[in-house]
Amino acid sequence: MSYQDPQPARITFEQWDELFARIPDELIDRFHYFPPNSFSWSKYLFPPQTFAIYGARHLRRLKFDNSLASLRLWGFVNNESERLFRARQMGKRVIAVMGDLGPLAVIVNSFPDCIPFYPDCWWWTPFAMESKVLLDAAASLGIGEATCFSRAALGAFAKHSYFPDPDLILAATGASCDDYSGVESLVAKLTGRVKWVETPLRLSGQNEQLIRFLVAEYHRVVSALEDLTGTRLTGTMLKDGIRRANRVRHLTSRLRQLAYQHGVLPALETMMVEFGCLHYYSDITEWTAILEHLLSTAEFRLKNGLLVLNPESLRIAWLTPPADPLLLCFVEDHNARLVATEYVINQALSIIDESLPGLAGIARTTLAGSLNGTSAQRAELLITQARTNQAEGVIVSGILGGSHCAMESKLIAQHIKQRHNIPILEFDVAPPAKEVDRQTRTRIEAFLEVLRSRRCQKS
Amino acid sequence: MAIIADSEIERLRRERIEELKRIRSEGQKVVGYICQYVPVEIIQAAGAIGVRLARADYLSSLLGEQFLRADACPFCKSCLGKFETDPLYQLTDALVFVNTCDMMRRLPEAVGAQKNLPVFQVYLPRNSEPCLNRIEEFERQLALLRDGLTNLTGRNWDDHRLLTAIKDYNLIRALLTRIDSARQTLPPLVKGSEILDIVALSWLLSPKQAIDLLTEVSQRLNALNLRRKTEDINPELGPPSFRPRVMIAGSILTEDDREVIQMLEAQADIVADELCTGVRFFAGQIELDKGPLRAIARFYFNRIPCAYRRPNDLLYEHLQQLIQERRVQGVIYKTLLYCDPWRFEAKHLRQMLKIPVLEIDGDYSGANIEQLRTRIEAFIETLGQHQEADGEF
Repeated sequence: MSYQDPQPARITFEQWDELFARIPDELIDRFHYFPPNSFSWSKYLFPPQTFAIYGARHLRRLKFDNSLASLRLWGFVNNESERLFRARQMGKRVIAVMGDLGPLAVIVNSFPDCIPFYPDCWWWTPFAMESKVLLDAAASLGIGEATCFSRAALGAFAKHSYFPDPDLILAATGASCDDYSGVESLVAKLTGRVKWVETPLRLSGQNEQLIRFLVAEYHRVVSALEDLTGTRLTGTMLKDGIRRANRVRHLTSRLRQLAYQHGVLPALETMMVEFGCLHYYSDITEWTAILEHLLSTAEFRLKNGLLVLNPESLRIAWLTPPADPLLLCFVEDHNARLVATEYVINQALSIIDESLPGLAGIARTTLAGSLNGTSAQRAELLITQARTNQAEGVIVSGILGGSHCAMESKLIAQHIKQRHNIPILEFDVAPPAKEVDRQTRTRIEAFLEVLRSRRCQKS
Repeated sequence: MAIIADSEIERLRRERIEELKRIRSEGQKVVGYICQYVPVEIIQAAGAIGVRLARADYLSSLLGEQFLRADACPFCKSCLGKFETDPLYQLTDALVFVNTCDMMRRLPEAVGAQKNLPVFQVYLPRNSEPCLNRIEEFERQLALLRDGLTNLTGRNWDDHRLLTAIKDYNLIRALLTRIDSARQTLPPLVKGSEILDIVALSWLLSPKQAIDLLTEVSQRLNALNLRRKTEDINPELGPPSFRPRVMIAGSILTEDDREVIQMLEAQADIVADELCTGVRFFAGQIELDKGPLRAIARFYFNRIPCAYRRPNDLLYEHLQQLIQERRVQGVIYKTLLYCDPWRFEAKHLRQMLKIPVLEIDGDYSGANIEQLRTRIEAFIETLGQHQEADGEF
């Protein structure tokens, strides 16, 4: 069985289909979710076309990295709904974790046969499916337009077909956006069973007290999980859960470094790698294996000078994840590449201090959360990376009516201008559509033109 | 006949602002606060004068758009703009914020970036379940506020002053509750708009002035009630009119946002409210069975929740209780544009309350005022028809 990645490139949906035909069946059979299970139903290495047929129509318009590791990533990510239903069939507990974007999943994952997932991530679904079905379902429950696309999570709960009805719903609130807190509130009313967890603000000089506060919150989460599973969480189990989470975070950190500094992985795949730190796409073991595969691919590319993106392309820092993944492809199609990101999930990317007691270590990363602090602190998270990787411009993709976007966008822009003085483009992502809307397209093109002329002037 | 004339309100307000200017020139600090969750007792005990900043209009909201996006909360935008236009806002030496909804918790940073004012931000858990660690954390935050404010005023902290402040504000809350209960009668002895004006005066005036005013208003109401009981038709009160009884609920209704209230009162009686500038501001009493700071923490933590808190079931319970007690026939649910915490609850609220609900969304612009008038008139007319059909009253 031999297969070698082709010359690195970003390829289209159709090209992946052709490339997939060359992958040996033995290789396809090798990858299963929930390892060491090897049942045929748990295969996931399929070309994007498979998932387009099942509704992810947007895949037809994206461009993909052409490595086998990236294909694995795409198959695994697109397969998550199926995986969650399978988990239920296999007798695993399916735990919805909402709002805190990272830390709670580490606790859940420390329990045997507990599968955490973030309904929050269903915000991509309307874009992936080019459909407003979930948004309409959310509207029928009270959350209409001019709100964050994360309202799709409420629609998904109402539809009962995107993930199994969870055994437990953990909803973090506190230093969270109003949009998602509203989603959680309506999910609580819809399902009648939510365990609330408080996430405090990050307040200067108060870290130790706030960590103690958070540990008390997490003890309640542990109790709820112990009641559900009948298993007592030992220190060793938690340490092991943290170690596995840290493995994912270390791999992600290295991949981000390689992608953003050297251009060995496109922005779209890198974004999915970053978001894998939230809940490992519901299967930490296989996700870790995929990250290792991606990392070996990235390192091979770097070592052999096989870059997927032009190193001379414009260097962009991106703030807030774009709900429409097509935007990232659009920027790369215009000879620009991402060199820094702040996707509101810093809490999931930060390494958990394993020398601390388990829950305290997790609490410390919670306080590092992107939305827990001030807008200026969030801007600094981006500026640090942007300086290191010499970003030439910042793109802020916002959400109309999103509470934190409305309140912090101007503050962040002001802060970046004062501290880093590079051009900023700010726009709101348009609702799900088949293409990047004309106005956004023109604005991005004009912005990149400005950056190009600035580069020329400098040189 | 009004229980308090507009001219009296205007005079009291004008005189108080002049007084604040004078006191401030003598060195005392004026501390502004925005939200019902700010414990004004601590501000007073620290030797400062606490005034609630709850005014908003379209012009100031537009001014605020220099600093915030157009889709930010109109009240938050207006708060920023008011520092340019409103004498009361310009009198403040410091500001106290409690992080409540996301927009409000980010407002201090926006204010801090534009104004050179000390800003205190108090973290109140959004989670309303009264677990010990949450109340203890809030108490710790209040202790930090106490220290910050005493630094500002240069006064030593004295628990006795805090106890005095608690007693003063408990009395103010009790008096406001008594006055508010006059809305329960058939027909109400006091108008909804008057209640809102009186509440607004209570957070502007000094505690002593507020207590004097509220006592006076309370006595006027007693006298009116007595006359109503002894006379069949009181020429001053006019003939009893049994108009539709409505409640107003929703986002903050600021002191100068009165158009909807006026439209409503032209045809109906506002017999109850579920507003942070109304009943939620004065409901309850601080019980001094623990140390004063813990007592304050427990009281504010457990207030009738704003919709932003999680869970907010107690808000619904309180709404239903008011509807029953005050025989409310319809609810005007007035929210601010982009106020997610209240807007998202509208649908659920409509299902829960089982009485007619009219949803109104606004941004202080008044652009849809005539459309609004038609909607309100139609709504009240419908309630009137229900009333006749049910043979109520």
